[in-house]
Amino acid sequence: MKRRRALRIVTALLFMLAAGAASASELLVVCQSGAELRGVETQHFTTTRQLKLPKAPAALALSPDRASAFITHPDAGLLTRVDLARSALITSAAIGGQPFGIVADPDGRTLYVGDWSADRVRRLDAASLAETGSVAVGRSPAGLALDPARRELYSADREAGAVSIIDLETFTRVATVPVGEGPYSFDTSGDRRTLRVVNVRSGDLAEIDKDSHAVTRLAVGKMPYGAASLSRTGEVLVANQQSGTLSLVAAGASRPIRTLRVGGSPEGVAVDPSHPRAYVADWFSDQVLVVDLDALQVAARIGVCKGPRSLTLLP
Amino acid sequence: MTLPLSRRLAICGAIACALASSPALAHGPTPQKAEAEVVIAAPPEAVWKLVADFGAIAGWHPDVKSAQATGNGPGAERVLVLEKGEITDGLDEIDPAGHRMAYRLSKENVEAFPVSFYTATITVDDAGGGKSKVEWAARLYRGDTGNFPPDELNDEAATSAMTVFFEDGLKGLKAKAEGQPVDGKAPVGQ
Repeated sequence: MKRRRALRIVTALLFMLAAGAASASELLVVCQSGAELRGVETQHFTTTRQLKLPKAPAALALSPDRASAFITHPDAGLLTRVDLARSALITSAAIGGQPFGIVADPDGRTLYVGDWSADRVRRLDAASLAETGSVAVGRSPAGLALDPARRELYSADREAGAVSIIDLETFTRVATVPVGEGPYSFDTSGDRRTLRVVNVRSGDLAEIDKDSHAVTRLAVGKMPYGAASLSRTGEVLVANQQSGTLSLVAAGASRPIRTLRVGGSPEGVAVDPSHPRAYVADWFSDQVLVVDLDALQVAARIGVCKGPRSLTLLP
Repeated sequence: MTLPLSRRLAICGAIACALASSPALAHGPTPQKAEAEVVIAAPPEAVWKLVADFGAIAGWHPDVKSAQATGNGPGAERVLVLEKGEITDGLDEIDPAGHRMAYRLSKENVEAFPVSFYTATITVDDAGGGKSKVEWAARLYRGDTGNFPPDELNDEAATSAMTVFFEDGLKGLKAKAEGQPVDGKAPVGQ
């Protein structure tokens, strides 16, 4: 326990050194074509790390202590663990199948990984990366999300048009909620009552009431791939990949209140909790867009590695 | 229920079986990029008029033998007859002011075109001096989205086919807009 705490302090110190300022955070970007984990600090947007990864990395999950990043490689059947303090690749485990969506349990001991082509979610031991169980879901599980208070796991089953709800204690699927066509990724900001998922084919944002499983759908742009909610306003920022736009949707509204054309192929979204700002991965231009949420305009474009798809903020 | 090609491969366990089966419906998780551009000695409005007519692509694309569209607005579909078979596109967005069109593959046929899914945009910009710049770009998935695709259905085959389709198309568009024969075919009325 003491050792872990010491490690956390060292991690924090190293990060402060790397970022050059205590108030900045680091954005971690996974580039699929470039096979790289890129770090960018959010004050001056300088590069903090460039780590070569195995083939075609897709999704990323942070360990609850922020010491590790776990990255899936669907094309290679691999799961990679990166030590963030040392910025070093620790292991690349051949777990097989097409591992895509990933989420870390806040208990620190467990990971959940969706297998796109096997239509299952696998439970792995976070230390050994050994499988400890698996559960059948709908066709082509894409994004995963976890509610630690309810002990529920959610899987966006793309080709099934539904979200699977998995009870973590029994590790069984307890409900299937039809949400629209092509559910892909969740707003992972962790609303207590509402679960939000974007439907890439029907072009909408579905809000699921976690108690009643009632679904409300709000039309956005074409092929929305990413969404994140703004804790300040309760609005949701959606990245529409095919339209090349961002939609800023107000909760409960029937249509997007504001749309910003950004071009390219916007996908992963992360909201900065300390600035009115969001970061959007543009797969096509190999850039991360810094979006000023007050003005709803692109404040900066940061060149990163090839084919950025997912990103997350390391506080 | 149609199984993805990867799963049918596993079930068949033989290449002969995979080749005999119909293409995958689902697309896998790793997109590829294809893009091409051309400068045309014709004003953007004139070039856009050619591009925006969704079903008229066979009039300027040498690789499209014929095409038929249900319309020119969002939701319209066009069937493209290619050398080795048909594929169907769905029109997502059309922006006449911005000269931008976005469409997607809505019915694939990997024997005719080795791509299981794509979204594509085509934009016409003013290049000055009465010229236009046309950019055609796609995000696509290989024909077999399993982890062990045969050579003819892998990432390289898909990217190459899409790039060739764009390059041939832009050459044809340029010829048509500049009043030259498209792939040796005389312009209509000449």
